[in-house]
Amino acid sequence: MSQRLSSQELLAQVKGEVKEMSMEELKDKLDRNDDLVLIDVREQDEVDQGIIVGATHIPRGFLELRIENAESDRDREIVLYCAGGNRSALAAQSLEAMGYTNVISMREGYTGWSAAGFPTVQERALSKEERLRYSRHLIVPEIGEKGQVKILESKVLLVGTGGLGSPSAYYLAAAGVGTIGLIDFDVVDVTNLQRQIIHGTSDIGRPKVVSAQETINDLNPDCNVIVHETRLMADNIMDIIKDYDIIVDGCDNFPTRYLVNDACVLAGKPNVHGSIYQFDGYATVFHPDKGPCYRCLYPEPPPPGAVPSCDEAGVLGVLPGTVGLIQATEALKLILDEGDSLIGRILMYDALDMTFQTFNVQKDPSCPLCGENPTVTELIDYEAFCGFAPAAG
Amino acid sequence: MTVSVKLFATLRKYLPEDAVNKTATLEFGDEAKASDIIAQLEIPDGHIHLILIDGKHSSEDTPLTDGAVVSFFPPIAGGA
Repeated sequence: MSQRLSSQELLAQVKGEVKEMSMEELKDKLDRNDDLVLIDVREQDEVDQGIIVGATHIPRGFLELRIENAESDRDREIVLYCAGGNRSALAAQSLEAMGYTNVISMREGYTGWSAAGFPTVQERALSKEERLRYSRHLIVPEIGEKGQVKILESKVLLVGTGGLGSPSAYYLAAAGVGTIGLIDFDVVDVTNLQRQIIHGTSDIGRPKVVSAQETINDLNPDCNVIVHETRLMADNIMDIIKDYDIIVDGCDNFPTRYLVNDACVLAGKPNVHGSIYQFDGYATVFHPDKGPCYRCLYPEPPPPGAVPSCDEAGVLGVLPGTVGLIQATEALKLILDEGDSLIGRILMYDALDMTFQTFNVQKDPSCPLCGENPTVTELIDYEAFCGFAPAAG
Repeated sequence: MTVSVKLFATLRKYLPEDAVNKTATLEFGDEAKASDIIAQLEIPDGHIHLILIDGKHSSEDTPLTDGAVVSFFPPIAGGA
């Protein structure tokens, strides 16, 4: 016959078997930066009220399923806590059964810790609706609740709401990017609809930024869309980009490419670059502190007319979808600070061969903008720089 | 020595007629550099912005080696 225990008896038995530590011991360890993994095993509504600084939240119900993603080393010191030291003791026993050899339950729990005035942090909590909408993100270990909050608090500016901007804006909004800026002065034309999927037939003749804003807010009403219905120029770009974390460049001409690059370097903003031609596409990330800029790769613009635009040369309608979504992916990776970004690498996509190749590119020490002795220290006339008639006004 | 040359995007029109799978096979003397390929294919100045030799970022002055795969990329700015 199996043994019958009350909850108090079970807890007493478990606490006699697992290792425990006091909150003061934990505080000392954290102050000394000891190598340990701190896990909060409480439920979401408890964590919403606050969490110990440095802790990772894994609710007890998922602990055994997710612990190996959080820590695979069976001998690493793992400190668990709950509200008052009971659930964390039970959880510690469970991890010991999985072969974790150095698991400790913090006796006083979060209640004791916060009452003692030890450091806690209250993180932005997701609403019930957000937990449902982004549930497929939340169960990915690299994203989770923390990552989703980063996405929701991010601000991304899309330069151009055309071939590249359409798919990237649409997917970034779906992913939960909190603020999306759209900059475009154009109106929707029937010839756009072969690829610019954020606009519809009924939008023909309407401003692209307005059409895109409506499509985005139908998909995700919580996305704050800021429309900039203007031509991006040297005299307005710094003011526009200052409020954004990441700039996604999907424009269609060389003067704007150089303008966006220079402004991003001067403002210290990452610039997620994509460009397309017929069946070929390039994507990379220019990050002022971490890699080359556009001018490192392309010090001089090509002669005017040497490189036709999509309007002139045509483009496979699906191509900007592929490249725009690579840009969206890179933007999300920057927001999450996960994975290997395309900083310092350029990706070349050949749709006819169906090949992707990446190669490393270095910062140019003699770059006039981001090199050791910069000569470009403010924005210039980019039309003139690219050999076109100087910009009016 | 023999090198394979791949041209991308706007540069494809400079491929010789006997190119197979968008790759030209060219013969050069021992001292050849990437710039010799550009001269032979008559690609105008300012049209090439990135050169990749066997997967490494290179320049017009980079010496060629037998069997090298050389890729030329033009700048492209399209996005709309």
